[in-house]
Amino acid sequence: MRYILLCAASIAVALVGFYRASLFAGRMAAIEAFIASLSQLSLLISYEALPLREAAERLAKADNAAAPFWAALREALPGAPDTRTAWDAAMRAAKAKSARLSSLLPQDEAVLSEFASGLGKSDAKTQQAGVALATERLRPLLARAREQSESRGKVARSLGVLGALAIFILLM
Amino acid sequence: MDSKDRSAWKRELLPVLPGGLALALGDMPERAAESLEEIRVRALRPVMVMAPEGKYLTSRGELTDDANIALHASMADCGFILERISQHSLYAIEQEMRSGYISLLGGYRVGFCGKPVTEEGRVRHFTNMTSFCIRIAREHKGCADKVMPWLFRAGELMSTLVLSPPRCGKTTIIRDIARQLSLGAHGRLWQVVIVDERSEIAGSCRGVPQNDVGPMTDVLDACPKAEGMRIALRAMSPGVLVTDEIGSQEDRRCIIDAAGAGVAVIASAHAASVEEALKRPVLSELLTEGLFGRVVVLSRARGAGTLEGVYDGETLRPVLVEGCAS
Repeated sequence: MRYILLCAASIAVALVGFYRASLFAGRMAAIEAFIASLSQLSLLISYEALPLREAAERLAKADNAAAPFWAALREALPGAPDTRTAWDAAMRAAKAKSARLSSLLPQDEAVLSEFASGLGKSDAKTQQAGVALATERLRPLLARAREQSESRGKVARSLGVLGALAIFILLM
Repeated sequence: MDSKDRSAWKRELLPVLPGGLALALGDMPERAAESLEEIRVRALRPVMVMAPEGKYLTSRGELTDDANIALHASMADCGFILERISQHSLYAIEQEMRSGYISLLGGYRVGFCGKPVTEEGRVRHFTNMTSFCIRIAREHKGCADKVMPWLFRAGELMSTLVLSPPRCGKTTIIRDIARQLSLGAHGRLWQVVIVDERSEIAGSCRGVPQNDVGPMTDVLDACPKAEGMRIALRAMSPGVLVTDEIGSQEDRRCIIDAAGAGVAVIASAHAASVEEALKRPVLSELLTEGLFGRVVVLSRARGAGTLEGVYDGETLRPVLVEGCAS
């Protein structure tokens, strides 16, 4: 019985480490997905002039971390007084459902939210400029997220494993 | 007779209006609601409804002449309307916006004023939109019944110009003419092409006509008139071309081309009478060159769509004098 508890505690500590590492990877995946979605959104705006709700529906079908957000935006738009309100509500709803989206940091969300405040409020040319600006601002965040995922993710995983071993040895 | 319930606009338009205004319009007296033609919303000024006379609207839905007790629209209300009518996507209606109006599902049209942003002398888009004129779309199927027999000579359809001042039913009557021709008139089905520069005739929303324009009718929506007429002649082999608000030399050249190709043109123009039309450069040329076989004049003397008379295009003499609502 004692060994079973010991193993469970060690595994739990190791999992905490891996969970922390997955958060770094999740953030990276979420930012990457948003950059890809924004690029696709830019095409939908300039070539198809697709209204935002339909564009969100199209983006929700993509197989990436941002898809739950676009699905939530599609739902939030009809009742919202403006795009920014719908965007923020969709982000809250999507974060509650998606672990990868919930790993986004406030600074990531701030860039996206600022982009949303101009979304749909001007002609296609200006919208494309807005997408380009948001993408430009997301890239350094992605680089940092990637760096953190590699270094801190590795540290978190290592600490998890070491912690698990330490607990096992100390309590044995 | 309207093809749809006269208060259908409440169902279709109120969702795009801000809460207070939607409630007030919803509470409007039924008779006024049924005859409503326009809703005018201006930021920080009283909301006005044309039903058909202009009256201010109170927050309880009453109509008044006193602007002080009327419901005033806020800047936020204007922002709300813009977000809703554009479906949060102004870029999707760029072309319409440059023309100063947006077409809604159901055939409604929202004209607006604001500050245009220009590029190389052309309006690129608008900002600070603070005035909206929401026109209630109404189809009056059968309103052209009285004029239809006069549009034919020996079984052949004559090109026809419909004249009237604004808000007298020009567009409504040419829409019904298009519908009736498309359904079949004088023993023939007519292939009709509507060049709908301002999306008013067919009231298309995303390419789909919201008004009944007949089964044999093709619509070139939001297409510049002259260019649209050229495209239609080239590509659609129409029997009839229908268009609104002609008045430029380019329009005239296209009408000459259509006549040369044996295509009848049903068009409308602003003028209260044939005499007034003769004072306008392009219209007078069109009339004196005999490009139209018939001229129909409408007024509001007994309500919108009052048929004043039908004139022979060559002699410009009346062939039918009316003065009653068509």
